[in-house]
Amino acid sequence: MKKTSLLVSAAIILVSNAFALLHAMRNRAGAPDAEITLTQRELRYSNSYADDDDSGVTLYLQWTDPGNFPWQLDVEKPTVWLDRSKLQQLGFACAVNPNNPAAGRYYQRQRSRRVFVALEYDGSAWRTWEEAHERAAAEQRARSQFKNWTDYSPRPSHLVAIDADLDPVKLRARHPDRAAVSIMPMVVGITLDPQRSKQVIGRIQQLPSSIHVPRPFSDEFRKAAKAAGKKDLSYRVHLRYGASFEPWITGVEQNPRAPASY
Amino acid sequence: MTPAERNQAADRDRAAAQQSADRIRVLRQELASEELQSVLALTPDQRSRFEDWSRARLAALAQQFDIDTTTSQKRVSWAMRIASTLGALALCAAVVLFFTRYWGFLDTPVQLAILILTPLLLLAGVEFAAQRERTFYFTGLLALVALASFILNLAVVGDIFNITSTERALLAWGAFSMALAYRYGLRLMLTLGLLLVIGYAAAALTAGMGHQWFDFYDRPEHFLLLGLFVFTIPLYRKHPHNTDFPSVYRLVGALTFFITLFALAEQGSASYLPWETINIERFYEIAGLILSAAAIWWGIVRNWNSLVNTGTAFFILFLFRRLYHWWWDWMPRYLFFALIGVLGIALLVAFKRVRGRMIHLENKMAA
Repeated sequence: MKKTSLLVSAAIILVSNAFALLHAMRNRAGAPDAEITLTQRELRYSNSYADDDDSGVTLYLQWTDPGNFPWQLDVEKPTVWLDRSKLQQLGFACAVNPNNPAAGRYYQRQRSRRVFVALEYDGSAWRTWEEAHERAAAEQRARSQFKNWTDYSPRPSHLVAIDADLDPVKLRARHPDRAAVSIMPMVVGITLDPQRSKQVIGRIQQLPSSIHVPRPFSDEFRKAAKAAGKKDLSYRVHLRYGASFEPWITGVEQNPRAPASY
Repeated sequence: MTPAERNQAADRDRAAAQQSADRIRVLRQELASEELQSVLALTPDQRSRFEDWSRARLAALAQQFDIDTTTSQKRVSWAMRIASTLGALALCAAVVLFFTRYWGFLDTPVQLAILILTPLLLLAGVEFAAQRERTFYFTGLLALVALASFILNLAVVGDIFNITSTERALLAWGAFSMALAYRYGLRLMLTLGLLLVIGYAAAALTAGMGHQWFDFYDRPEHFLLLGLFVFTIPLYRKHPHNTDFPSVYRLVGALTFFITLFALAEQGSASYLPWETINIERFYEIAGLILSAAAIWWGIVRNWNSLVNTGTAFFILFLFRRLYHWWWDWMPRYLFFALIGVLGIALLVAFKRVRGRMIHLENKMAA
């Protein structure tokens, strides 16, 4: 048998790995796109994953979609920034009037699209959301329908989706604060919201939510989890987002002096 | 393929050698029957020369390719094939679980070295096994484990560096699987390779249109074209060294095509066609009935068993689907199943008639 096909098989393995490593290197080379510090609210570490069959440590990114708390609709309709005009900019077809009888099928048939979304950490978007949330909760309590709202969402993430674009460079130009706003590739879907008199709105459906924790940080997480037992961990994670908008961890602080407030 | 071409192929390819041995074995059995001896009386000298030649030919083929020369050997070979596939699947699971059990305790460079070296070492193992056996049971087993470790390799490298998932990994896995299939003549690896490459083509098209690549089954029509393309590959790409590969291309292509057609008949809302959902479903249902019947006919004409079987299975599925939508709601269940049974018998009679007509035609042509 000639050795050519054997060499081709080996080359496929080596070239694929080379591409992946070059991609990772390019992402991490040069100045990072964002440098941000998040807490256990935004990066959830689940101890249940650390079972005997998987020794890896992974953090799961949590974010707050300002328009996605259905119970608020009873008292206050949160502002939707992912509206019809924004969705048109993102490549969705919005030609049919939402009140048209054919609108349901028209919007239902549209597929989700890949876009870039800006997420602001602990900024004005979070404060607006928090105030609206408190007003809504107070009103709900007054109506005696929803007495203890904090039980519903005890630790909301302060990372709030604020803007989207097909071009990440334009998005960064609109949100230049690299310590507070990170840009991530996400998937956005279009839907006809019957609760908002058939308004066309966008929904953020997916994002690359898992972040690998390399050694030695993973050892610290395992140790801290063991010491904490059933108690929740308190930590801060320093993240960098590179040229390809992919994150990596540059530091972890376990049990920081000033624990994050909820 | 002419008999001369068949013999030439038998000297190069294990599958063709097995077919050649099967033909010789049947001929030996037939020549020993009294009925044939009454019309074709061989002289003792001719008989002895045929016996010598057939024995020598079978021995040579067995020596060169380790093929089965008796029915019992064939049965044992099937058991070995099943055992090697199950063993390979278990080993794949073992490799993945072993790695995930310990990878968290290793530094990134060590993780990378293990991930890249494992498929390379397994590839060397495949080559080593292939040089020491002619039946390729261990070769096939190791090839499947090598593919699994390569899949693990790229998936975990992506995880380590938090790389946004991309459809391009499907192409790398598919190309690797097909390279192994062609080098060692492994049909299972060819099947996996074709499925991965089909998945890649659909995902690349989906991503190119601005959607998330793993939503590639949202619009199944891509798979109709891809299935047809794969089906037609053996028509213009000959396989002199792997004579059993064209049937794999045809089977994978036909299954991809008909499964997609059936899915669209079931859920027309996923189609690209701008019609009412019910009209799309009717359209694909009728297309399914006509095309599966055409597949049966073409399979019979070209003597492609896998196409005949696939066409028959989908013709019955499309037919039963239609009957279900017509009758299920208003007919008592016992009557529905009784009618399906009657229809099954009617189909049997129809196929029998077709078969009778074919025999008649062949006899006429022979006369």
